Amino acid sequence: MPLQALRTVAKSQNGVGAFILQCKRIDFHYCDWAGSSRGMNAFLKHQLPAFAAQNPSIEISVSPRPGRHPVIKGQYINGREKAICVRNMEATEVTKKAELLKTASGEKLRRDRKPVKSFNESVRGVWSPFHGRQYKI
Amino acid sequence: MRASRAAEQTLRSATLSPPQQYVCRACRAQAARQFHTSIRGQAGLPFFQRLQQQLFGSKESEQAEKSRGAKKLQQVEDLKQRGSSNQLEVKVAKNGQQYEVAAVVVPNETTDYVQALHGKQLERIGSEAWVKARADQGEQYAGFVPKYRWEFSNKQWQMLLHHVIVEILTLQKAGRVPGDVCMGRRPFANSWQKTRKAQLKANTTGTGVAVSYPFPAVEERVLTAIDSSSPAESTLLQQSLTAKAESAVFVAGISSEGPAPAWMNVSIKDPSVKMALVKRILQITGMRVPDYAISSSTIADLYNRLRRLERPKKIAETEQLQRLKINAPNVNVFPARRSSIDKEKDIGRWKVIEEELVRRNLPVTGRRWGGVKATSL
Repeated sequence: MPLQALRTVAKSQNGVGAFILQCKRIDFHYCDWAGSSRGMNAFLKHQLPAFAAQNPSIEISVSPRPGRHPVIKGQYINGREKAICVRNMEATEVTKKAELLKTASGEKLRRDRKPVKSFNESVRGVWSPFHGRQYKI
Repeated sequence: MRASRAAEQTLRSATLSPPQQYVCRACRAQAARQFHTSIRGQAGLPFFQRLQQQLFGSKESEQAEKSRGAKKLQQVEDLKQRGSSNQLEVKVAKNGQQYEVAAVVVPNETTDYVQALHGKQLERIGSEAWVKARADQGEQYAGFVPKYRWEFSNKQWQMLLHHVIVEILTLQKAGRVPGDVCMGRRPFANSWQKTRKAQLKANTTGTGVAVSYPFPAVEERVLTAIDSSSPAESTLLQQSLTAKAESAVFVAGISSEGPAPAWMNVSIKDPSVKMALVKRILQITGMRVPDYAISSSTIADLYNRLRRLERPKKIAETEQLQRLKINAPNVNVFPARRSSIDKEKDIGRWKVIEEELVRRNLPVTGRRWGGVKATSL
């Protein structure tokens, strides 16, 4: 095995020592008049206090957006933002969407092509044409 | 969102054919019976006769004209018999109210009466020129209706109605005209405080409502406070009257929501009581009570039609979110839409942006109005 130098800086792994929630802020936008905002309004009145108490590390802002559909926007530590339109949803469904945003990492949604993800190097070495049994004609 | 909905409906109505309405035979027959192309009264007459009547008059119209003339002459004869032309005929209506019949002037006999040839020659009472002319002579015109309409809350309406109806019923009980409620008040009468102690109860006989005071002296004071000899409280004193009313009706503990209280089931079918009530409301608040409210049979109906319904609270104004603002330190509730400028102000970047925009002579807010430019910081 080739020589490996010691790392001067420890590799960060979120959750090993301390866990930092990636979602830093959630904005709830609603409309006082529109019918599509009924579920959102009910969520804000009845379920938001519990959600805010369970997640003290998330900054929550509630502001009206008159004449528009209700929207939940989450901002993440990696600088990205995710928005979900919750038009015509019930309060329970809005809660689920808020939970979804809270548990997201902020990364783009990608399809994983490889089944295994690891930072560890290959145990037996990556194949190259220069190593291994020589082929003689 | 609203615009798209309106556009959708317009497109739908344009593309769909109009629905065919079915009308039954009975309705069609009824409509045909009601349909007339000529005036009913003249329908039976031939055309020539109708034209003759229009130009030269008919026997019926001549007879009606004669009877009117005879009535007028009879009135003049009655006046002459009464002696003085200043005395007017007094008639008594069904409710006991006395009315004076207007004087009749016969132009042929009255020499100092000159008939006007057209309306412009007549004096217009109450016009601006008339008021100005009177003011120039030193007379100060005092109107009845106040200049501004005062807004009362529901609590204040309840108190105001209680005060006014107590005064009216007290006057009626004492045998005075209910209309006197609009007359002037003696100084230092403080009748607003006195009427608060009065109670309204249904009559033992079962007709109407009776007002009762804890002490007869209070009732006497309320009656003596209303000075029938003085003119109606004028607009000159309007501000003081309404200020008095506002301070007097400011009472804590009366719920502004919910239905009218029990004492309000006072019948106001008596026209003199209703008229006095409506006049007094107009005099104090400047509010002209609309017809649908005047037609109320009880004060509770009148109150329900006059009171303002509570405006539905916005989400940010509800108790739950107000409480959340206080209890949860990680929650911010904003009552109005947050613009990009608000977001920049939160971060503290707006000062820099604004400074730079001003330096470059660019509009700070808005871009459609050509004159929008920040001239100074």
